[in-house]
Amino acid sequence: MSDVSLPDSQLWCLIKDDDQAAYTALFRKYYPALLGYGKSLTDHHGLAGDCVQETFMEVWIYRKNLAVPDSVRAYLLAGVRRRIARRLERDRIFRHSRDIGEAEFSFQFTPLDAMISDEETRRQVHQLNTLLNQLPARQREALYLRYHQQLDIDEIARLMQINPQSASNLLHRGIKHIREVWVGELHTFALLLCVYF
Amino acid sequence: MQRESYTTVTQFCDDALFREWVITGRDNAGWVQWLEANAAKQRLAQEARYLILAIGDDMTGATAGETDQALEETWWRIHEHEHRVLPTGFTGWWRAAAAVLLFALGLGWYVSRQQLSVTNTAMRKPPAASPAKREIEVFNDSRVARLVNLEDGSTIILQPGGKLSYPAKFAAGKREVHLAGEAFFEISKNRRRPFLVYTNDIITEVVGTSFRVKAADDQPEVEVFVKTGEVHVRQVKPKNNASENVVLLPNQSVSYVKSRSLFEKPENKDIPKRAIEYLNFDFSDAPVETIFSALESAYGVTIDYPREALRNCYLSTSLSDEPLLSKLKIVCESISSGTQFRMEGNHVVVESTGCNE
Repeated sequence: MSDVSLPDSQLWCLIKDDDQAAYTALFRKYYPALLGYGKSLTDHHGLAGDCVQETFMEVWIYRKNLAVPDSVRAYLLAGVRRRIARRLERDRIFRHSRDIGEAEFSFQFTPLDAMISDEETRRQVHQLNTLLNQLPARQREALYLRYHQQLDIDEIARLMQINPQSASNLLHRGIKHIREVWVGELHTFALLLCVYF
Repeated sequence: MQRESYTTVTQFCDDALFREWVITGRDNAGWVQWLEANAAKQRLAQEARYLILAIGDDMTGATAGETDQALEETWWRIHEHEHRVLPTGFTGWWRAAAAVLLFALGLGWYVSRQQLSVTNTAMRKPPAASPAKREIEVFNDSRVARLVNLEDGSTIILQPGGKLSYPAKFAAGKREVHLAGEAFFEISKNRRRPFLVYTNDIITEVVGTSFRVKAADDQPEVEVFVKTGEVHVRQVKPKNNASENVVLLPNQSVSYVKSRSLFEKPENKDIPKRAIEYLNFDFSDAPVETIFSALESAYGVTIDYPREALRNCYLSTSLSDEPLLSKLKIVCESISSGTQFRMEGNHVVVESTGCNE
């Protein structure tokens, strides 16, 4: 029997040996995250679910020929992204949607309110959150892949079809920008305090 | 421990144990204690904590119930797939085309394994010493045709699996590209700068015309099909001294048999339906919308235009022998003098306030 606690590479090897329980474990482990990513690439949520299923179908159907990926998560995310791109491209003559290279990454970050207990933290976090959600789509996608999907720079670069330096720049530029604006506002706040008191 | 050396917010954000502490409250690494002892790092850590909380957790996915339902559906689809006879994913014309066509060839192509595994349509621009000599390589790893615009205004429609390389800027005297796989060419006319397509075995030379080259690695033949104009085809390495130069006229095609290193007799050929050769782009009193949608499906581009402003615009035009950019130029000029367009990759943006009365 296989369980979710096994490392991905072991689950993958078991799947190659026709282990359906390992496949179930892998599916349960990654389906929610992949669906979340898929939905952020197209507002057609049925399409996102479909593409995630197809990505998993491929894993089973071609299990004998597939090499164990360095990162199973990155492999599956790339599969979902590629499929959605392909489907949007196929559909765009009818729907006038743009291809995924230009498609807006529409994910909106939601603050983790459950872990916030004091009002000052809440204020700061929500202010940062607003700034995050105003970043350009590519920067948001890079941050999402880094902090929600835990991909490293090289994996983000491959997924977004850019070189690692550009991926690193996207992340840093995003964080740098919101910190600058945020710190700027902190200073303004401090100045106001000086004026009033 | 490593964290003593942290000097940026990002380093804290990237620390899995720090993230775990912020997101779940589980303090396995003793952050509370550590921060008390390292007051100098408190500001950075606080900022990182705010940032992690603002980025949040992924809540958009699926519940356990939804996941298991999707799993069930997936098993069902796998079962369905394994009991099906015909392959899917290709439309009728692709199957027909695959049955009819014979190709050949192998360029020593370097294709990054990583690009193969993750990209839909990968474009690689290697860094080069001088911009003039920079070679651009395009590999179409998708299942749909990909449009490539060249600096001289020529258009190439690269079929799935096709690889093309071309200079960012052509030489003064000639325009040279390398192809493996299949592509359809619409070449802008320029008598002083012939256009040459190199495959492993043959060279196809034109002045201004449209034609298709099919040169796949794993096929015994290379095929050239001419839609308009005149095309010259010859071997890369002629045997003996008899450099055979095959001249092709519109609707003629020639096959080069790799194993025998010779050309077969050119023949007239029926145009595959739905292929771009088949489309003549002759419009008589057609709504602009019809013309744009014909261009969209032929070239695999999207065209954005002000639908309301162009609602009542009708054009009569013949666009058969022009590259895409020229076609767009003609259409836009016909609409009105103020109508302009620009290309953004595979996307065309048309700006117009309306048509000539």
